[in-house]
Amino acid sequence: MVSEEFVEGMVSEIRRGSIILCVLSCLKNEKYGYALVAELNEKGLTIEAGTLYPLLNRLERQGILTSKWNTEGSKPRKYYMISNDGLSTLEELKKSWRQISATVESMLGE
Amino acid sequence: MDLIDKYIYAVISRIPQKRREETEKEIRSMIDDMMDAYGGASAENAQRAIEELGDPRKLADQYNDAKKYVISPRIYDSYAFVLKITLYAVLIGIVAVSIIEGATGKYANVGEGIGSFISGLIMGGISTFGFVTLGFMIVDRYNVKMELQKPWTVADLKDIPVESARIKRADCIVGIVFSTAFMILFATLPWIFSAYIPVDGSLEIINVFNIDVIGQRIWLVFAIYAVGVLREIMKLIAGRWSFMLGVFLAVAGVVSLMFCFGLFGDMAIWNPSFAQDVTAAANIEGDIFISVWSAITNLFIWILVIGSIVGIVSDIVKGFKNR
Repeated sequence: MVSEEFVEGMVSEIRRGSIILCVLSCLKNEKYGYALVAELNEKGLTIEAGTLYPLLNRLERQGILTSKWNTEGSKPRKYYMISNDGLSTLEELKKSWRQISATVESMLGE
Repeated sequence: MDLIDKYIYAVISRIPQKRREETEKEIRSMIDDMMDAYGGASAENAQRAIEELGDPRKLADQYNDAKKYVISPRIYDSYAFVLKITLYAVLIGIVAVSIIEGATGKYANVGEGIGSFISGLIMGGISTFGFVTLGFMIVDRYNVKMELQKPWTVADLKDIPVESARIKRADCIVGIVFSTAFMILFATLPWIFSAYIPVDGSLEIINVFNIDVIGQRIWLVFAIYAVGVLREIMKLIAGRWSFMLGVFLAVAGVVSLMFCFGLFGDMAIWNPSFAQDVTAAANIEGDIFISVWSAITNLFIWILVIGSIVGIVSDIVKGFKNR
């Protein structure tokens, strides 16, 4: 029997790639980090804040997301939104995703 | 809140300086929002949020991009191997040196001998580790640069090396072990290069070298050793002769020769009265010996030059033949 750890590792490998797609799709309107965590969890993608925040930080540095701090409320929040570069990246990713999932599905169905 | 500040500090102290301010604000706002989700800011909720975020080192890893290595994983095996061999060579060398020093009565008592042995092991171990690691770091960076220059194509695949183009691992190890042995001898027992002449039942020891001058120029010995080890590491990693390897080794050979000039270029390194002392101790007519010795020491640097040129040409030829 293959160890549970190994299976968990494989699952997180599979998830890792899909998370960015979900994050980019959700950020067509600006949102702050924790609202995004809540939205993703609601839609069935469990992700911890400690994973999502660093991811947002990286995507921003890569120019895929833009951000601005909103200091109007009681505490400052950083709002993220997909950039123009990010939009075209998302389109490419979507295409690849559909292709990969169709291929995988057809094999799993056999 | 104290706990939150401590946690944030533990994270941001592990990420690059220029991103710390922004990241600190992000993490603070994340913890605030998490506490809100648990029902508001309080010491308990702060602890709960921090526990959920987990080990600050792991969170910092997530904020950092690519993993950085001193030695890349793909050459790590060679690195560990060379390090092991050199450390063994140094260990054997220091054991031998200690035995010789002990036998020649250098130490007042056993305790002093053991103390000197242990400090020799520590110093030797640390400097060997440093030399080998530095050598591999240089090779690693150099390799990475070479690879980044142009995209890989199938045409880049090299033929499987013919027997004569292969570099044998054993040769490199012998090279490293011998260099290490010489370096240790020069650094710790320069008087071992001596003439030993029995006079009235005891041994007269006449140094070939001027021990003080070796002490002053010991950095040149280390430099020659470092270049020598770097050459062997380069060969070991390449595993085969190639034009680039030949050029690299030739350049290293020239550098090494320059250090040799520094060490042997003037006559200061030799014990000026060696030949006279030997003939006097041995009680022989020494004119011929004195003039031969003088010729040898005068020509020594040129013998090194010729030897190096032969080596350099051979490196280039081997590299060119297997380009």
